[in-house]
Amino acid sequence: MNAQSWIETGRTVLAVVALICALIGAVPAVVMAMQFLLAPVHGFVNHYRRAAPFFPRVAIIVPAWNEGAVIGASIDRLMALEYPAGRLRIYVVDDASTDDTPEVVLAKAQQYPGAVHHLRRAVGGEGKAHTLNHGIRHVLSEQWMEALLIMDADVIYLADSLRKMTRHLADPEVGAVTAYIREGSAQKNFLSRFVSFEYVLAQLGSRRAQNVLGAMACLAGGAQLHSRANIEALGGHIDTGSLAEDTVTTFETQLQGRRVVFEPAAVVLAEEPHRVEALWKQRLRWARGNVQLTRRYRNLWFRPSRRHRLGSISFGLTWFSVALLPMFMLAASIGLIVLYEIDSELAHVVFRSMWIVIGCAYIYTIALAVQLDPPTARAAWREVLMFPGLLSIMVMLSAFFPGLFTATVPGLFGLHMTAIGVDAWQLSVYAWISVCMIGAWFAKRLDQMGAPNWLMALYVYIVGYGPILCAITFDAYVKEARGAAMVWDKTEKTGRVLG
Amino acid sequence: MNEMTDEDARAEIERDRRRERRVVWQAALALGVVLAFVAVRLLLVGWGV
Repeated sequence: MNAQSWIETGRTVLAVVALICALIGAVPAVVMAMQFLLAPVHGFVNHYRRAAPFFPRVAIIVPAWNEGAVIGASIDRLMALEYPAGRLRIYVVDDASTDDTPEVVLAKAQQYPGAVHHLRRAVGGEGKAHTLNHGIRHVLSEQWMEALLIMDADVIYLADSLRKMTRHLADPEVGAVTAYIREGSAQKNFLSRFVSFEYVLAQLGSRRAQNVLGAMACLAGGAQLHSRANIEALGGHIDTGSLAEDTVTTFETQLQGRRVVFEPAAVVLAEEPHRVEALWKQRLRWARGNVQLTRRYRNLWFRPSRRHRLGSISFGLTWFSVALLPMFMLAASIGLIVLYEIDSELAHVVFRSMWIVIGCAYIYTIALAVQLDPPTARAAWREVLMFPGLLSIMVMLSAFFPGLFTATVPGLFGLHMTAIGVDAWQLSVYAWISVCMIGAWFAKRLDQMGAPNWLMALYVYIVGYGPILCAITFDAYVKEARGAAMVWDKTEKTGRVLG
Repeated sequence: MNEMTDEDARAEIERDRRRERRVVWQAALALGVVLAFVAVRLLLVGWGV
């Protein structure tokens, strides 16, 4: 082979590698669409056939640190749940609060004798899992408890939610049940509306699919109901070695051969962050936890087992399409740019094919999600439309309608884009697939600089909410690689949740 | 607190089970939206990519 042949072969190999990288970018959207295609199957493959009227004695553990402003109302609401009298007990585990939490809880203990208990940790600040374990040890030391509900101090359970969860525990194969956490701030802003729609996607869509597949990724931290047998089999405690204790509990339950069920009709309201910085802090903890678990369970992925479904191909794809999302985006950008340098026409075809698939998956996902929780979708219609961001929507439109931004739109103003301009536009579009993460990171900086709400909203509508989640995952890689300290920061709440 | 009879609880389970079937029709409608979008694309651009 002469030098020219070597160069040609090298170019071909490089083009194939770039092509594969570019196509990898479509994986997350396709997996999301796969989950939403499975969601309707939940109409036929669900756990309702094995559910039955069942009202076990439920111990509710409420971890609380300086929750004096909200804990009293939370206890009142829990005592008003539609559940048989005498079969509920509330254990508030006070993590050495410095406000009036003890006084408020003790007053409620007098108001509801025998039903409300105050457990105080002398030394606090070790994190939620340690606080929960204090309460779990206490309730397990008594024989009264038949089921354990773990929740947050500031969430609101709709009146029928607990009984809709307990009915699944009538099946002894079920170890734990989780509910739909709906964003319920009394005063919403653009960010809480984005979160509310994200929860529709991640819970009402994805978790229905996970019910069908028989493998659940995570019990919601604020709504997890366990059978006594399950919590005992887990060793009577929650994992304290990672930032994702809820996911560890979920995985360990399933690894031991018990089912975890998502009940879409059980609704729990929660207040979510209203500022990008607070969201970043909360989600960074979750994302770092997921990175830790990806390593911890490295022998689990893509290894099917008869005992559980966590090793199935479908669950592995679901997990890694989220855990590796920034990598998929980077691969797509680099692949397309390299391909463009080798063969610009092929790059165009690959880009358009890929983004038409992504676009169709996106439209289907959004069109179904808005029907799953219409009130949430109506309240967040701007955020529904702008979920990926205006710029990413332009990327999608440029794939669907070639020439829209290089010929049609300039033509409307009597302008003509030069060849260099078209090149620059095309490369910008390819780069944006991953550069959007830098744009998203700047949203956090902007928030830290004290930008007003209207500017933050405008910026996030342009850059997108999805890219923010992606950038947080990337930040989690960096923090984990650097071995940054694991801090369990409490997400700041105002306590204003709609009842 | 309230006392719910077994019969009421069973009826509620059955109601929620039937309600889940609605998602099938919702998914069909969502697929219809995708098809409409694809049709617009075909109309304006044709089959090629």
